[in-house]
Amino acid sequence: MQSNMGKYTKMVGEGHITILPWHYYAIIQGTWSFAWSSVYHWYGVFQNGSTHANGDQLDYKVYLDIGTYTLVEMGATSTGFGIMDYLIDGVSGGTADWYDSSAYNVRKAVTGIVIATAGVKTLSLKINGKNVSSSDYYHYAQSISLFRTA
Amino acid sequence: MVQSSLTKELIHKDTGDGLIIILPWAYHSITQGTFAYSASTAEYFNGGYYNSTNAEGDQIDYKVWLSKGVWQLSLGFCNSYVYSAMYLILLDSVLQGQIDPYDCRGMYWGGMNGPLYVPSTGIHTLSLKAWRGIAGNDYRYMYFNSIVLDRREA
Repeated sequence: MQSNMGKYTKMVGEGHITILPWHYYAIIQGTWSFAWSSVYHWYGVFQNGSTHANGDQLDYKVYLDIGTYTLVEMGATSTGFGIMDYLIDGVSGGTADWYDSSAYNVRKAVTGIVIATAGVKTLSLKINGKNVSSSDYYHYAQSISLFRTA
Repeated sequence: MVQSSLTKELIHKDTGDGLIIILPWAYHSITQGTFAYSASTAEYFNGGYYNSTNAEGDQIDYKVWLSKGVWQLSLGFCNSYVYSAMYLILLDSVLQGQIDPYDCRGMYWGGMNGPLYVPSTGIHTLSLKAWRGIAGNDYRYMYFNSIVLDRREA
């Protein structure tokens, strides 16, 4: 029976995963809090506005099956925002540069995130440097989604 | 190798996906048109996604893992936008033909007209496509804030 159970773990899907950024598992670095504004989806953002330091990090727990995933984050861009690194169990799946002119409700996607073994994973959002033109390491998060493409 | 009753239970009941909420900007691809967020304090969640191109055939595609079973699909709409078109909901080749278009004008929420039978477990494609289908409606806007799939039967 054990061999069968192993085989069938491949059938366990995750639908289409939606994570609201304030439902974190742990804050590894920085102070993150909700900031209200009527220009944003959800009327606000989850942000590191008081610390805004390189390395500020939020961790989430999520079950992922074997496969290839796309991660989509909605957030804000500005000239003082950092580069976000999206890590699975400490390994980078890709980055997104949130430096740009000020805009709300911006979508950024990281494709081709390969999950080699199924299980509960730690998804980390970690500020990892900044664009050479950026003045700081702020990050404003509104939603995180993961869906499987293969 | 004979499957035990426990293993069968794992296959048929433990492969569910809870209640799936898809945010509109978490799309896989845009087949036609330009889609963007539009904020509105008059709407749930302070707005939603819409096709600014307002053209027949504008289409946005989502990938979603669905387990074999019976599901219900519903959409959250942005009610204040009265010029919306009817949505044609497209499913992949495995699921196609099960859903009639919605007339979403003036609605906050719309449930599919019947169950969605998913015959095989795996990654499926769900698309929203602007479709006229309404006499006298010259608009092709789609304005929505959520897509929900919940499983009704194993």
